[in-house]
Amino acid sequence: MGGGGFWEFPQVDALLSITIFLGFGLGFVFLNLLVGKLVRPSLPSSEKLAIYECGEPTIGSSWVQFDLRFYIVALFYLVFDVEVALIYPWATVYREFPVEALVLGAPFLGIIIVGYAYEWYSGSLDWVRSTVSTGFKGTAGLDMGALARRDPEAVADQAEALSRA
Amino acid sequence: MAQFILSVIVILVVLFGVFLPACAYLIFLERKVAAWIQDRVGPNRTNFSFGLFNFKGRHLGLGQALADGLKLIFKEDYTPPNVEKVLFILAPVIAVGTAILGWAVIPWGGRLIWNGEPLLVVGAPLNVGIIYILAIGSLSVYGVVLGGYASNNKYSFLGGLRAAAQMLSYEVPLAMCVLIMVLTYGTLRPETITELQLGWFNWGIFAHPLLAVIFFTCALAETNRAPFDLAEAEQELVGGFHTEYASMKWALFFLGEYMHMITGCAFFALLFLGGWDPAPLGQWLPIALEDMSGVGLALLKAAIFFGKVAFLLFVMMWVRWTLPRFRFDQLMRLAWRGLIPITLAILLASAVLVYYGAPRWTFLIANIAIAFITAVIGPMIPEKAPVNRRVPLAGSRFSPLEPAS
Repeated sequence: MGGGGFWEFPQVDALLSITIFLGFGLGFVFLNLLVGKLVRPSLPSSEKLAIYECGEPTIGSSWVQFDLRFYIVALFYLVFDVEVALIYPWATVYREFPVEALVLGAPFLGIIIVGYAYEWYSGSLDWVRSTVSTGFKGTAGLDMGALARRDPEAVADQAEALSRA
Repeated sequence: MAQFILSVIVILVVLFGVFLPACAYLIFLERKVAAWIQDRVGPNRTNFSFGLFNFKGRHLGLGQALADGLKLIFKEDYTPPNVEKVLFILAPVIAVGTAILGWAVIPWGGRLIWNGEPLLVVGAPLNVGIIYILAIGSLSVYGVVLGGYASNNKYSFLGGLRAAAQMLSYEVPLAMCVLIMVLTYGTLRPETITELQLGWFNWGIFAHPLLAVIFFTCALAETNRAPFDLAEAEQELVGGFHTEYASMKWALFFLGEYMHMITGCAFFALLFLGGWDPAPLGQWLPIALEDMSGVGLALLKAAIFFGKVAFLLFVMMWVRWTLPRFRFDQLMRLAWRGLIPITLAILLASAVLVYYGAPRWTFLIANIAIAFITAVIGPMIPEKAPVNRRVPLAGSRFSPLEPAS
């Protein structure tokens, strides 16, 4: 089935019906939001309007810089999802042109897999990262990686440097 | 053309008529299932009297859903002054709107020939329906993220961030699962995928059982359901991204969650459980029928489809009240280091099998082999990152760097 001329639908019709769905959905949502306006009370007070943070007074804005790991997840997602989205047409015509699809698709999949293996190897896929391998400098120029490795010499050096300072 | 638009509107009205009360009663059902699993009674007090009428008889608490809805309409809907107003209102609208759009291409009732014209019992007869569902599904991240961002509340912000990372991470294995099913069936049309599953044990779940499990896991994570409900973990984040929401806006978030569950379950039923096919034992229902007799048949097909969706929804609730919540690093590890390599392996195996034109049961063997290899090899892979020891900081009470003074 499919493919036949009788069951081919003009795609403009489909877009039209999606537009009808969208209009109906938005109408439903806004109707829901507006219908209660007539019946519900509106008695705002300063306590009620305060930001809810478990009763503690709010300190500062919450729009602060967030952990960069979220950013890296978003980057990985972008790479993977674009790759997967690009493979969809390949998967659809794979049965019709197996040889061409294999020749053209194998390098593409290979690049994904090599890239993925590198990400795994480099430790970017770990959410909890060890300080052991970091070159991060802590307070007073402490080498956090050396400290986390419990490297006795490095710790002794740092202690000496600190006592001199 | 007029007939087409009429059919779309009829389908739309039927879908709304079935699914909106269904969403309200799903919340009630969720509480009943929870009570049943935890050996409680659950909500059984609310009848249809609401203090106004004198309604007698067995009610089983069925008035609860209606009472909840009425309460939410009459509740005060205040917007805190510090929020980003436009995004604050837009977030629940997106959450519900994308879920409704997702229903458009699910082939509820197969094919129908009406007055000699072809008609699909589906909202929109798209040729690329599978890609459309995926695209709309990934839009739903915006509802949660914008809700968390616009609230100007630390709990909301953290919840929104977590939800974003989680939904993005599970989007990848989900898209790969769908990709493998597309590779197996060789088409992007939802109704053709249903028809390819007719016959003896031809459902997708018999070819790719491991993939079905992964898909269901990802669907749970995409809808922010337990055990993946870190975005609204009450013990840590109050309400997560909807902490600042009240009244109808909050209700829309809730409605959106249940609508997304319906979309996800329908997608699962379409890919793995044969859509409207009543049983995987030969072909029971014809693919297309004409005019009036076909309408009854289409309704029967839709009823079977709804039945499968209802069963999957029950499984989702069952999972929610059985499994504890993940920790965030476990969640990320499961997606990036568990599900993605498994789906990549299945993708390669399926590509090879399709290349040689292998029959459907070879996919089953490939799935079982990959599941076995994962279970054996998985625990043997060493953790690359060594575990942190305690870092003694200068100036700390426990620091070995400074002599105690």
